[in-house]
Amino acid sequence: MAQSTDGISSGQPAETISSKTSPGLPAFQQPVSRERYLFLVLPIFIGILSGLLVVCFRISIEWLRLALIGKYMRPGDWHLIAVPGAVGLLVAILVQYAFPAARGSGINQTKAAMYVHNGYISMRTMFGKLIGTALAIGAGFSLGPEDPSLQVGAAISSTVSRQFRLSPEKLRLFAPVGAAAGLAAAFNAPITALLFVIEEVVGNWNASVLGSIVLAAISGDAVSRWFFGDAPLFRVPNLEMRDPRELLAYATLGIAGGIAALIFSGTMRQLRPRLARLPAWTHIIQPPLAGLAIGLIGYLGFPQVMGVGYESINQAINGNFGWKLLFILAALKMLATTLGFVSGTPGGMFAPTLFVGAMLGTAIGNLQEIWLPHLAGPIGSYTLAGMGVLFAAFLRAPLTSVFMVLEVSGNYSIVAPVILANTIAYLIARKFDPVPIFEAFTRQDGLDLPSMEEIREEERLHIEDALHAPAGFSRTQPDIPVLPPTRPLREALCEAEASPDDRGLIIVHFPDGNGYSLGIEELQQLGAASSPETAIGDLLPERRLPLLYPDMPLDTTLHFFSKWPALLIRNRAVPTAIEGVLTKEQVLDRYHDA
Amino acid sequence: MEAGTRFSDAWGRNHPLRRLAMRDAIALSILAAITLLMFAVAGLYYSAYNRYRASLGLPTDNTPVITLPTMRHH
Repeated sequence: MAQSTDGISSGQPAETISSKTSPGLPAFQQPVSRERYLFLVLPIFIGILSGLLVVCFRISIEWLRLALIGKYMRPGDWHLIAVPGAVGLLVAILVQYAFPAARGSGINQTKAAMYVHNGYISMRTMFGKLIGTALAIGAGFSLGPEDPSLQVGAAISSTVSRQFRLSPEKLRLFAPVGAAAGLAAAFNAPITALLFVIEEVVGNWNASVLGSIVLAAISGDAVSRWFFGDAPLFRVPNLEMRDPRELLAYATLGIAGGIAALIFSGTMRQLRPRLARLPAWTHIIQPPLAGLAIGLIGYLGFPQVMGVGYESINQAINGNFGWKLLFILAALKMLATTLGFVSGTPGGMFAPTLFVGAMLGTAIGNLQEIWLPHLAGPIGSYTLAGMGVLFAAFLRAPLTSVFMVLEVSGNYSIVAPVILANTIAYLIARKFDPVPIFEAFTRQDGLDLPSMEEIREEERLHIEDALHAPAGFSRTQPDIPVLPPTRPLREALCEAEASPDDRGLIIVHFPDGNGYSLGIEELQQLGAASSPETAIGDLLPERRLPLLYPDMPLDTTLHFFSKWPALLIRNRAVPTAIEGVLTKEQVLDRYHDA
Repeated sequence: MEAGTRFSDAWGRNHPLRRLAMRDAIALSILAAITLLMFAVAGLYYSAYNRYRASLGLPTDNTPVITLPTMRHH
């Protein structure tokens, strides 16, 4: 009997299934093939729609920037203070009274939607996020459009999938599909989007949704490229690593990046709850005050920290800044982003993280060029590596950070130093601050969502762990008799009586490798009307034990014990060979000892 | 019929899941129409924005949109 993916037994007659799709009754008991085709078709629409919305979002940010601040950002221009302050007040009013769920970056909200609200994100939240973030970034707040784009994609996904009356489990799975599309469209980087969503939102490589995420990410990215072209986000000159000794500079960058990420995230996690606890009326003045402070930074001589900052990254890549200015810009960007984010202004952390990393990396590259000019490679290599370093250490997405650097630069020649620097930064950040920043925010908001780092590091038990448990850990494997199907019933009964298991378990092992496990009671019932010389293989029903191998997760065996008293573990190389026999007691003992 | 049956069979005249299949077809058609409409809206928005950029003397090629306007550090 086939089993549908939503756990509904497939043995129901057609009429039963049909009646449950009528209005007023649960609608999600539908053929598996319908869900399969919806998971193939809908991601394409979700990807295109998310891509189109993100395109409009990106245009709005730039349009607002040009309209509110103008073509040039000159220190000493009063617009740089007035505009963020005034728009900050408007955004605060919008967030406070019209779109309360639009605060923050969007990653946490998407995760919360997936794990708490069955994948639901309202259109109101989506529009609030679009309007609030576009206004804030357009006015010069030091925030990014990527994380909000991720939430916009998830909201589109939620709205579209809900029209098809799918099961709650399937609706939950659609949230990351749209998230990947939104992020891909914002970043022009589908692989990064895919990896980030898998690494940070979903938390595991679930094959059932992976294909849909890929489809959506590609669709969203294709739409973005349709409008903005194929050029990578950053224009990087030819890069190379001249001398292996240069890796020491990248290792230093990793250490510096890890420390910077700790300071950045530590400040945010300290300030955010303190500001949130202030009286409600202060929530209206926090964003404008933050806007004024950010504007003041620009007014006093550092307008680079305002807005998204990608143009400044491009300038840094091309070596237009000195090392002192680079360090100052990195520090001021952290300050400006912290002010904007903790005040509750909608906006993301991706772009500021890349900015800080880029400035830090370029500064270290500059110093290398001054102190050890014979070892220094192109400065752009350090800028790129720096971006990856902060991404790995601050956002705690080590795998994504490497691919992100490669994808946004379109350059693959500095993989080794990027991996080295990212790993060092990630390990430092994790060592001194085990809770990633977005997880800390989630906890501050009173939610307990699964930690992706914990999931990654969770040690999963496998069948072989129970099968070959070390001495003293759990009970030794009982010697359950394994008999060929030709064995007469009389002998099989004797073997069952002699079985070390209390239920008189035996396993019948067929020449093709399949098996059947049964206790003495079942054997007696099956053989009640048969001659004692009948071969036991002839008495057994047609169903067979599931195919299980030592490398499979141990928890997959648990539900089989409702149908079978013992399981046969087979050898992948020799299908007819037996690796061992597993009982429920062995499995539970192994978990108990773990 | 079982739950694992091919959903495409539901187009059969007396099939119990015919209503669901028709609902899906209508929903997908509406979705396709909304997508086309959104394409048109985004296209118009993009061209309006490009006209605005041109009026400011900025390039209207496919320069990535999220960049700061020309910036000079003094």
